[in-house]
Amino acid sequence: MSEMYTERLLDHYLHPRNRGSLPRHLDEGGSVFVAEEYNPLCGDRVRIEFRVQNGQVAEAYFDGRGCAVCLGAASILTEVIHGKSLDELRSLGRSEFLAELQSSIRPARLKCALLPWIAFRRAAYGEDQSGEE
Amino acid sequence: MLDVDRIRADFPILKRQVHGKPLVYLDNAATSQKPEVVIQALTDYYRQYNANIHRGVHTLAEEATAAYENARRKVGRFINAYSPREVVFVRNTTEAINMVALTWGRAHVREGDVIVLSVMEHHSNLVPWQLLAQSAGAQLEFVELDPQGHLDLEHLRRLLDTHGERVKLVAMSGMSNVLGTINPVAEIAALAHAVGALFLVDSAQSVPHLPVDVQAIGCDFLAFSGHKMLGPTGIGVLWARKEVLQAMPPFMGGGEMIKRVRLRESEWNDIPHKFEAGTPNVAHGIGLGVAVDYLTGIGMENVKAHEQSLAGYALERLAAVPNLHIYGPPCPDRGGVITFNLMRGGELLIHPHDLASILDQEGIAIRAGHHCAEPLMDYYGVPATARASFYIYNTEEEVDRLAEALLRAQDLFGIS
Ligand SMILES: Cc1ncc(COP(=O)(O)O)c(C=O)c1O
Repeated sequence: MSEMYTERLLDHYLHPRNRGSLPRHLDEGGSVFVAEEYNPLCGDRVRIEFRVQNGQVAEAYFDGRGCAVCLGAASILTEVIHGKSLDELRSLGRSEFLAELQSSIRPARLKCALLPWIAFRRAAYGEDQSGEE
Repeated sequence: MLDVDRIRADFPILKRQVHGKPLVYLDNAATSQKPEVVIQALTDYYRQYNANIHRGVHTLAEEATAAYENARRKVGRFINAYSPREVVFVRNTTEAINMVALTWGRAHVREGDVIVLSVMEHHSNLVPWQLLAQSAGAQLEFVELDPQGHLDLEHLRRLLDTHGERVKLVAMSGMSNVLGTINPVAEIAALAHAVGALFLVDSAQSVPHLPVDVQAIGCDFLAFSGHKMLGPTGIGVLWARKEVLQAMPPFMGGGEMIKRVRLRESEWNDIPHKFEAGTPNVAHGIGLGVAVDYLTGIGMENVKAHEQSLAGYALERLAAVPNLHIYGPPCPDRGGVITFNLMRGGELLIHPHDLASILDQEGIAIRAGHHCAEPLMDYYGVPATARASFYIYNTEEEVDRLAEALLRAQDLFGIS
């Protein structure tokens, strides 16, 4: 694949899934995970929040401001993690996540594409992947 | 006017294809392409007379020294220096400005003193002064812009009135790398001198694109980079008036910058060598001299006229692209830099990074980001912008290709 702005990525950017915040008015139980990442190079900012209930990601949301690559990837991420356990998701490494995007991200844009994943890893496992590119 | 076809033939890289399309290189404010003669000058040096300079007595050393010092003379003439000894070779604009901050600045800027900059400065004409101000206890003041993106000279006058002789330095760009604004540097020099301050011009964008005459400007320091003016990377220039340079403490210590060394103290070499410690970038210094010859052959008035005419054409052509917002002043107050965003109702329609990636697919190289001028992005309230910047080899057809690609990018993103 040589395209970066594939149908899938653009579709998620133009019609974002799960954009917003976890509904806080209901006490749904479970535990809530949140992290926000910022890329000073281009001003991308993305927040990932999700609720884990009965061992699985029951709901996931993203919000932020940035480029299509970053926001499209964030929308995809919320779908990818939904319904999985945090144990299972440990294997969602950098290349596994990039594969989910089904788009060939050019080297200069990797940071944009990975920003939501970096936020997820921080929220879920307290890892700092921000030095990764 | 320029014979652009002939000029293009001198630049091997312009024959390249990118993603199967002919390269349209519109990132000249970041770095320029190099003509064959400059590339050849580097290999000639390495193949025929590579030697360390100034210290050797053999033939190769003599030839290399002569070529390097000849390049210094060419650069001096190019900016109308009073003497070639005022030309200090450094790595780039950034190093030149840091050198002034770390030597002249440390010697002359004291607690309570003021350095006047502007909000349009590149980080390299901002951060060195932040460091100096922090260590000296000095204060930074910033000239604001008028709504069109010119420096607000009335504001500069007020700042100079308010702070008077406490102002030790005014440092501003000759041309903005974002807005393209050509600043009235001679007028600023006179205003700075009236309160006894020195004036530094960040000429990273002006020396490559405009005729620059340090005597006519009346500035005290001038900094620029070879790589933005058809020359190699890793070579740049700090020019300063002879008296200023002579009084300036040295920068780095080591070989070449000394006249006499004893175990506990040394005597400094004459300018400019006092500021060129260690083996310099000989090959690229010589290459810069060749780039200067090339530009002189074309004539800087012609370079300026070509770029301003392209900028005028681009402003007109891009006005037909819906949702396009262009920053900076109208012609003729701007050079060949067009910074823009696709916006509606104050919101970005396509992030400039996406735009740059989409254009890259069409072989068009533009820049996206904060262009090392984050405070200016904050000033305009945007995280980033896209920028097309021209040089002698760019054409109106290339501007057309840019405009068409901007329309297609909006199609791709479903923008009506
Ligand atoms: C106005 C201005 N000043 C300074 C610089 C820094 O130049 P360099 O990176 O060659 O030191 C640039 C180049 O990006 C510039 O456009």
